[in-house]
Amino acid sequence: MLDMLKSVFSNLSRKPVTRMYPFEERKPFDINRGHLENNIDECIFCGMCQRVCPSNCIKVDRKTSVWEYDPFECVLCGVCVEKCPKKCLKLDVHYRSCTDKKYNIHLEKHDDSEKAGA
Amino acid sequence: MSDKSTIPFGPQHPVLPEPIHLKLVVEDEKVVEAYPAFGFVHRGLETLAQKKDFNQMVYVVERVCGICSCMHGQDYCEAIEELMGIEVPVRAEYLRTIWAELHRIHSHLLWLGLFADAFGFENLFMQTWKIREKIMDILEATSGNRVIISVNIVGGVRKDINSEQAKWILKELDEVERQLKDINDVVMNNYTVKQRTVGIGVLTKEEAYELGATGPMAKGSGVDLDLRTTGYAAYKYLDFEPIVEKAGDSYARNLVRMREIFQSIDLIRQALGKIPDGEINVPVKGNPPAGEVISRLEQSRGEVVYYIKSNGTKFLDRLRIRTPTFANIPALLKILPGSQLQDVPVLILTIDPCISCTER
Amino acid sequence: MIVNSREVEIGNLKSEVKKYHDGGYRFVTETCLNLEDKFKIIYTFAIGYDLENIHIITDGKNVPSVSDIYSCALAVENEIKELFGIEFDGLAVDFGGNFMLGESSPISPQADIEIIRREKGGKNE
Ligand code: SF4
Ligand code: SF4
Repeated sequence: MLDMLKSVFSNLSRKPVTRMYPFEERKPFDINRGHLENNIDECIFCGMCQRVCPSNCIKVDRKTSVWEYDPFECVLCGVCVEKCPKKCLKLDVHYRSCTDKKYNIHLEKHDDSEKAGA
Repeated sequence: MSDKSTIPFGPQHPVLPEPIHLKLVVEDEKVVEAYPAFGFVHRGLETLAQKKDFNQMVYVVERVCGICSCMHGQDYCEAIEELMGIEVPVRAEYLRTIWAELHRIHSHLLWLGLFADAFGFENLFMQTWKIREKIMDILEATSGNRVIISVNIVGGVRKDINSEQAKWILKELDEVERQLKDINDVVMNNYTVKQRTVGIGVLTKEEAYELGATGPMAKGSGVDLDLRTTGYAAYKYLDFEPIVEKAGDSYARNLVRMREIFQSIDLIRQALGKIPDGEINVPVKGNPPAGEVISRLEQSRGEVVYYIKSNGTKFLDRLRIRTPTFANIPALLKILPGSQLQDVPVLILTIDPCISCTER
Repeated sequence: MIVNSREVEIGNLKSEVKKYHDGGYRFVTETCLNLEDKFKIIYTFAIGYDLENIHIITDGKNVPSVSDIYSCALAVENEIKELFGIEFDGLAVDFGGNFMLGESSPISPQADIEIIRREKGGKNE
C-alpha cells in the first residue's frame, strides 16, 4: 500500500522537476533543430532545397531570385540543410516563437548584393 | 432481465489519449458487445507514397506514429535497402538499434503513465513521465529533436553519437534505471495496481495466437514471438532473450513492458559497448528496382509489417503498413465483452493503442 | 524479404486459407493493390518468423471473406472494403462503411477504379 511513500518523501525535499517556463528556459542542445534560416547572400537559387524537401514548403524562383519558405509546413527534418550546395541554409537551435497568424518567409536577392526582406 | 443500453465511448474521453470510438452495448455494468470506429486521424499516408520520392518518404512514414516513429523509418529504410541490395555500415546498424531501444523505453514509459492515469493513479503517472523526460533529453541531444528524430535515411543514418555523448548516455541510463527500480516495485506489488489489473482482460495463449496479436499483447499471453531475435539491424550482435509472461491478463502485460524497459537499457549498454567505428551511411544511387518486398521489425507495440511495391521509378507503386495496433484490435474486441464498464479504459490501454498508427 | 507470392484461384481461396489455418499459421495481414482495372489482394501468413504469401486477382466483386476462418481478418477486410471498395462475401462483422470512413468521407479513396457506390450515409445527411 505504501510503496509510493519513498518517492513521496524524496519529492518533498527536492526542488521541483519542472521549470517556470517563460522565465526560466532550458539551454537547447547543440544540435537542436529549432528553425531554418537562409543566408540569402550566399544562395544561388539552384532549387535543390525545393526538390528534396519532403513537405514542399520551399519555393525557389531562379529568375526573380526569390526564396520563399513556409515555416508552418516545415517539419524541420534538415534535409535541405544537408543537400544545399552552398551551405547557406542553417538550422538554428532556438525555436520560432508561437504566433496566431501564419506567415511566409520571403527572401530576395538583388544583383548588387543589396538585401531585401519582407 | 435487465435492458441493454448503448454507451458511446470516445473519441474524446478524459482518460483516452487516442481518438478511438467504441460503441459499448452494456447490460447493467457489464459490457456485452463492443463495436469500434476509427478514421478520425486517417491521413492517407500510404497514398502519399505515390506522390513523394522514396527518399522523402522516410520522413513521411516517421509521422505514421509519434511514439515509435524512428522504428517506422528504420523499417521502411530496411525494406528499400533490401530491394536495392544496399549493405548498411555496421555502425549505422548499431546506431539504429540504440535509437530504436531508446524509443522503446520512452514508449513503454509513456504507456505506463497513461495506464496509471487510466485507473486513477496520478502519482505513478507523474513519476513515470518524469523519468521519461531523461530519455527524451537523450533523444534530443543525439538527434536534434525530441520525438520525431528523423535519423534514418536509406543507406544508413544521418547523425552520429560520439564517445562523449555515449558516456553521458550511459550515465543518464544508470540514473533512469535507479529511478525505475522504485517504480518497478510499485507496478509489481502495489495494491491499487493489482486490484485493477490482475485477472482483467485475460487472453489465453491460443486466443492470442489465433487473433494474430503481437508485441506485449502476445508476449503477455505466453506467445514467444519477438522479431528482434531474427537479428535485424544490430540485434544479431547483442545478447538477449524475449520476455514472455504466462498469465495473459493486464498485469502480465504490465510486467512484460516493465521488464522490456530494463532489457532495453541493457541492450543500449551492450550496443554502446560494442559499437565499431566507421561510416554511418553509404551513398544511394538510382531508384529502387521493380519488385515487392516485405520488411518487419519489432516495435514497442509489436510487429510492424511494411509491404513495398516498386516499379523502378523514384515513386513507389504501393506502400502498405500493417501496424501493431491494427493487429491487436481483434484481441481488444475479444477481451472487451464480459468486462465491467469501469475496466474499459484499462482494457483499451492495455493493448497500448496507437490509433494514428492504425489509421495511417 | 522479397515477396514471392503464389497466385490462387478465387474459388480455391478459402480452402487454401483453411490449409494455412490448420497448419498452425497465424494471420498477418491482407494487402490490396491497384492493378490496371483489377485488384490484387495479397494474404500474408506467418509461422514462427517465416512468412508465406498467396494472392488473388479480382475485379472487386464477391471476394470470399476469410474472416470465418481467421476471425481477426475482419478488421483488415473492413478496411479494404472501405478504402478500395471491394465487396467481400460473408464478412463476419460488417461495419457497414463506418470502420475507417465517416458519413461524409470520400468513397473508396485509395482505389484507382470505382466498383461500388455506397449510398451516402443512409441517414439524413
Ligand atoms: S539549396 Fe541552398 S543554394 Fe540552392 S536554392 Fe536552396 S538555399 Fe539556395
Ligand atoms: S527542414 Fe525539411 S521540411 Fe523544412 S524546409 Fe528543410 S527540407 Fe523542408
